[in-house]
Amino acid sequence: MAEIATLKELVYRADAVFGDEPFVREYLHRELRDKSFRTFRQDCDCFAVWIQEHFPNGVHAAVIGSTSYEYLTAWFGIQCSGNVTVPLDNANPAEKIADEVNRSDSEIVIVDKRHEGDIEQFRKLCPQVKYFIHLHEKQENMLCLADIISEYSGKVPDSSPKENDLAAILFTSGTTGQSKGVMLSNGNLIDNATCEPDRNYRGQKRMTVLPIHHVFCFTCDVLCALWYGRILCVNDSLMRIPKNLKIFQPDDTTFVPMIAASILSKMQLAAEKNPDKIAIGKETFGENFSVIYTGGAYLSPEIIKGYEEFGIDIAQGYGMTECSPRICTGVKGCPKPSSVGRRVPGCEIRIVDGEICVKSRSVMQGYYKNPEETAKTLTEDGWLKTGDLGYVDDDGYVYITGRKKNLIILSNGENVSPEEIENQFACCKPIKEIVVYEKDNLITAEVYPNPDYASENIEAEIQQKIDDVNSGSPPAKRIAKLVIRDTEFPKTASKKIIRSLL
Amino acid sequence: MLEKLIELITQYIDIEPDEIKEESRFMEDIGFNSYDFMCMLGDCEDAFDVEIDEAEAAGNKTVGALLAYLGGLK
Repeated sequence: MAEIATLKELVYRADAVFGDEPFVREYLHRELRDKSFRTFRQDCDCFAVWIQEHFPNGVHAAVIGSTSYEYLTAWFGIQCSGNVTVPLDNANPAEKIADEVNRSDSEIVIVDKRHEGDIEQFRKLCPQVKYFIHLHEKQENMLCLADIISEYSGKVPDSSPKENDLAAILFTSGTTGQSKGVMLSNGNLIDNATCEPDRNYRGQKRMTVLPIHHVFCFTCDVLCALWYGRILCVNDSLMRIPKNLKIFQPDDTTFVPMIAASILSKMQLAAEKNPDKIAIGKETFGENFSVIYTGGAYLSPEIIKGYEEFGIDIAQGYGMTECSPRICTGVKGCPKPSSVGRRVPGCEIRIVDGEICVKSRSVMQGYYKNPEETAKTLTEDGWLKTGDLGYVDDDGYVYITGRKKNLIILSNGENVSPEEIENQFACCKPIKEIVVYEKDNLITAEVYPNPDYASENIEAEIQQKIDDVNSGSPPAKRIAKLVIRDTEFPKTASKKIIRSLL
Repeated sequence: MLEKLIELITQYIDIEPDEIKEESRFMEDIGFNSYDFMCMLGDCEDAFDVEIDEAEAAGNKTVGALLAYLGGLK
């Protein structure tokens, strides 16, 4: 167990233990810039003192931006002042951000370039907000973080946040209804970041790619870097992932499966000209690289196998925002590639009516100002109902078969998980997207064919693949009807298909 | 410039270089997905020695439009 209980203590411990070693590494205007653990703590302290002076009774502060040293300084400056950070999705439109600013009771709004033009709209829509701050630049209509830090240079906050104090409110996009604000305490986040043994990570480089408002990125990249003394290499844009892998030469990274699949197909294309796959793997990921961690969506065993041929390990984990997020982690060379790994230390798992339920110190306090949803998700004795269907095998490996709310119950009483069927088509090239649902008591597959796939009769090929999958499935899980659509499925901001709209 | 861009494109998409024209659309005609297109833009930064704004560059839907955009950055 960690000897610390709060995010403020995490920042202070990192300074005490790792001091002048590099924490954040960025490639800005074609030059590398390092910021040390010590500088980070000092800058966080400056911002914390400003917050304490302006909000002596406490405050919620929304941070909206892409990953940068300044973004992290704002996030942890709020923590060092003993207050609550509300990281919002930078990709959302201004109205949606304003709604979440209001519903989280935020009185400070911190933005970067992407939303700097929306400030006047925020002023109108969010009258309770007292200060707007720009992370990087001086602007006429708001404060600039760098000015605050230089004005408060050398000052130290006198806050003393506690383990059970609320640290962050994170909105889950959800595929139905309004987003919910997940309340994570200091103790929740610290537990999740420190639950696994140290594998001598100090000084190793983790490239951070995923959106920083996702708790998967925040805990596994940022908090773990502070805890283990790792160098956090910031990938500043999706378009620079291949380039940044070469520049930073990281030891590992976290991806969502979509990015992993895209990079794999590019390597496979290169392998048609150069049969030395190990060399291609090293050329793409750099000499130091050992493993990709994925989460957030299903990773097919074919992708894991594909990466193996290029000498790269890829490990799949499982979690959710409500659990800070890690529930299971995969390991290098996982012997059971269709599993999501084994539970992290300190996490209990039980299966109730097929649903995975979790109990650990990482489980959220509840949904912000939403007792009804909290009661539906957390049991009175502290179990989190994940909404995922799955099972644990005799060796402790966990398997996810689908979402409980998507479960198809046919009139003959058979329960069918659509995801379990859909996942069998994950590497089927003629299919870009597939959704399985029940219509007129028939299991129906609706398919958006892959527009990149050259074929005389793509529909016949898709039907053939369905026939193949059907022949290996029990009768209750066979697709009875195929519907072809000519547009992509409607999706949420985080690119998940909205089933309720079908 | 066109030749250089075509060379970058063929590192992502299995397509014959002479099938790529200035009026070809990246997604519909050439077959890029959105992520690969972003990565190809990243490659353009090095190949043409420019610094690209992700949101601006992603708005260029055809080979010709992207060439004009890149030319304007020089």
